[in-house]
Amino acid sequence: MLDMNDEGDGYSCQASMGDESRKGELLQGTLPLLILRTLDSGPSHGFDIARRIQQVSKSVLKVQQGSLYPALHRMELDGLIESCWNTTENNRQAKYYKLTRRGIRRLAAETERWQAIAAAIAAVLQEA
Amino acid sequence: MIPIWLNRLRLRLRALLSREHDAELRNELQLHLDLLAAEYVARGMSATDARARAHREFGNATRVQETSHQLFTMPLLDGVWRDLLYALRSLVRGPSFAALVSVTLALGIGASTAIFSLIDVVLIRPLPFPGAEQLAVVWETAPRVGYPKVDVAPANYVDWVQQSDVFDGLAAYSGNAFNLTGQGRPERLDGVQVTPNLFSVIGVDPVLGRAFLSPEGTRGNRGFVILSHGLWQRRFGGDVSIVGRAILLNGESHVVVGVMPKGFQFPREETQLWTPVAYSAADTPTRNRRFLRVVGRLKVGRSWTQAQSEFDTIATRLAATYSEANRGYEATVVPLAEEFVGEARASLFLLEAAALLVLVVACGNVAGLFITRAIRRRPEIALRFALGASRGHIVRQLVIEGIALSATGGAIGVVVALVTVDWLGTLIPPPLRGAVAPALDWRMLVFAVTTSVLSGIVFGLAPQWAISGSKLIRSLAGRGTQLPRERVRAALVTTQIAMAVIVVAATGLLVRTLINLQNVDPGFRTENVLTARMEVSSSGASTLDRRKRFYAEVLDRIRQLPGVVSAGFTTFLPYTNFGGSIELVLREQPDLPDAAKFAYRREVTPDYLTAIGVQLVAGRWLTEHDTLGQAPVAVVNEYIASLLGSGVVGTQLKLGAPDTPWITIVGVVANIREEGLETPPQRGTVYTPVAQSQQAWYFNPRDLAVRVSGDPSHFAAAIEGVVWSIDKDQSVSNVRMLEAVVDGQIRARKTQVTLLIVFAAVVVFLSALGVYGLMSFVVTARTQEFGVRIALGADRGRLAAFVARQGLVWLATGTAVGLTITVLVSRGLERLLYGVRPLDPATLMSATLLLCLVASVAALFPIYRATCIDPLTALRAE
Repeated sequence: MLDMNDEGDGYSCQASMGDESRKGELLQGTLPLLILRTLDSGPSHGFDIARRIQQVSKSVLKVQQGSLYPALHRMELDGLIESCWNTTENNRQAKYYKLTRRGIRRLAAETERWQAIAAAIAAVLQEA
Repeated sequence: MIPIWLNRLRLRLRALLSREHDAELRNELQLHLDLLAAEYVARGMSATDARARAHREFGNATRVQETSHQLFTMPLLDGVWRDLLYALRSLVRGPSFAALVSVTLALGIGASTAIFSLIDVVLIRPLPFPGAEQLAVVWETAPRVGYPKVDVAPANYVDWVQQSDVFDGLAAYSGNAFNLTGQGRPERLDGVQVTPNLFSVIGVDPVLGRAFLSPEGTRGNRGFVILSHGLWQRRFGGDVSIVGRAILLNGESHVVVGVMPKGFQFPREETQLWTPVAYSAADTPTRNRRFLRVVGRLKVGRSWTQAQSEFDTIATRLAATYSEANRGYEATVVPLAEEFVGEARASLFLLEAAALLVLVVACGNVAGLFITRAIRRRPEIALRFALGASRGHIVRQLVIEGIALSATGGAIGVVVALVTVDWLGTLIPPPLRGAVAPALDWRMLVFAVTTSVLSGIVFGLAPQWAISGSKLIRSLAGRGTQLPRERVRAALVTTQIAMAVIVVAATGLLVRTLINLQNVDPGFRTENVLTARMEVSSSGASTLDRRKRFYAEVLDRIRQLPGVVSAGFTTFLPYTNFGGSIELVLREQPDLPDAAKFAYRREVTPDYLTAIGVQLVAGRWLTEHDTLGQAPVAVVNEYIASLLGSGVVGTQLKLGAPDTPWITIVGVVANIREEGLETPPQRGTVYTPVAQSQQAWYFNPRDLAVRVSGDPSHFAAAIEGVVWSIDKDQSVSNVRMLEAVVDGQIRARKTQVTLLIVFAAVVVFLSALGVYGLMSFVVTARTQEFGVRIALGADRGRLAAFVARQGLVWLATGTAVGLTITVLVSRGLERLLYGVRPLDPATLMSATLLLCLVASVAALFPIYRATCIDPLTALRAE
């Protein structure tokens, strides 16, 4: 069984959807999953990650910076991602994050878990 | 994949150690802000508006930064790190305090560690032989004659082997010297004749070749030798093919059968080779010649008591059977470790005790320093309390400060120990010298570090204990400097004084011992005399004539050297051999007391006695005219003269067997301390002219003494040259001043006394510091009170007396306790003393007075300060 209230990896950060309301509250533990998925397509820095989550979700998911960076740093401490300083296209120094092997494995596991939950919730909603 | 905790630790450590981490965090967030602003600019906003918008959208950047920062810190370690830096900063601010504490601790830790490492190798670790705790030395002993340990007669050894059952093997050996010739420079080698089973009894096999086999060592079958590793390397270049080859020892061929392993030494460091000798009932002429040392391995399961009682039985039986030779002789079994360590045990324990007292006094001082300091820092600590620092935090910080200091002290202490430990080598008992090397191993290091860290924790906490929190808050208000822990400090100082009295008194006793020994008249004049040993080979029929000719020629040539005053040969110089005695019979006094029945026999050339500066008391010296053709003559010492009463000169004596001729006494000379500076002459000595010697034997001279005008060391090369020009194969060894021979008697004591003096000086200094600190503390604490008193008209002199009286009480208590302990423990010193009693009143009084004097001087400054208090300043301070 999957426990919906599971705090996942202990990430207490939240992201909110859109500006307007509390209906966009992200389920706990989902931000790291989004970050992992974003980094799966290549190394990236914090701003870029936030923008890409926004773009891909067609602005439905908007990541708050106040949550993003602590999440990134905790994930780094947990060895899911690693960082190095590099130059951006605009010739600025930026801290780039990329997935570690542990991160790739976690992404697979979390994706599966999320899909199972989503399917389960959908099923419950349709029945009811 | 690395474990998560390791990854975290790595990143956190990097964050802790690199100054860049915070900057990186800032940069990362700044980039985000800039990119956000850039987006708004791209949408047509002005730069200023864009930045403001970005900031608003981003939210509280500082909070983000803090959240992230906390992720990367280790709260405890971070705090410790900060405390450590704080501690270092505050120590650097008061460098004299830091230096005083570290050096104080370093001396205590260093000295006790160094001496303990010596004790470890000498007393604690087993001797360097397998199963060494089962090994024992068996001596004959003649208590009634005043010989606690006598070498063993071969015939008795043979009987012991046959009759005893407690030993797995009983081996015998006797010292000998060998001249190695035939290749390169002739060399005198210290060697030992051993029974073939010696190596198996000791339990060490040769590293090359084999040990001696049983038939080897019987008469006519002795041309074998085993080399020490050192000799093999030095003279034969470590050549493996040496085994089976013959070398020339004393002019005779000896086949090398084996080489002992590196580091093996028995019985002495100097021993370089072993030759076989076997004793059997058929081949041991007389029981009267005692020259063997016997070593045995106790059977497993037998006790020392059993061994001793068995040898008591055997010795009683032998004394009854061979009453002429063995009457009064017993046997004693001494464990080898005890035999080897001997007197050193008491000496080492004394030094360790003194070093530990130094450590205790040092710790007391450090505690005192910390208490004073903590009280001075009260306002600061109170402020930190007030600002919200937790009690635990402040304790932690004080402890860390203590640890930082004591760890520094410990580190310096290790250096001190390393430096002293080499120098302490002279304290190793001679049989162990070379076999053991005191080294500071890791256990010592752990000991030192633990001591220092523990003391750090204690000292760090002591101040905390001295201050309670509620009073702290009051001290913030500038009040409440009333000192709660004066009594604690007073107790510390009293203890210090007590310890100092003990150390100073013990040092005083040993200094007096050393002075007494240095003032002992050995019976001869040591200055300006050079000595050397020449072992002459014992082969050939005409040996005696050749020897006599050799002595005459050498002396003749040496006398021609400019600056030589006189020169002579003797059997043994004083202190170089404690044996060499022979039965003495006096014609006029046939009934000698037991103790006088043996006398040292010295065959000398006429000038020997004048060369070492012995006083002639009566009669005449030996002369060149006392030759083989003349009537046999002798000079005796005063001890023998005292046996005869008046009219000694002209009477006759006999040495050794009854069939030897009577010898006429022609002169009496002063007693020489033959057996050691500490042993008063208690035995006769008979000097006979070597010219009248009838045998090539043990008593023929081997030691040369040359009295010169000027520095004797300049003559060393000339004398060697003379000898080699006469016989190129003659070995010359132990070339040294007579002063050095005598000094060898007290060298270990000098080291011991030097150490003790250093300890005593340190302890006295530290106690003075303690007294000074305590008195200053008292005066400072009462400045206001005294100010008021003075303002109210108190007499300054009486104030000073009031302060001084308090100091006197502590001083008196300290010295009383110290003296009491000294009186209780000083009996233990008895064996180490010479010419001074353990409770010598003069020494104890001087020690007490010294302490009182130093303490008074130390107390003087604070007391003086008390009289100078200006009431206005003192009151204004409130």
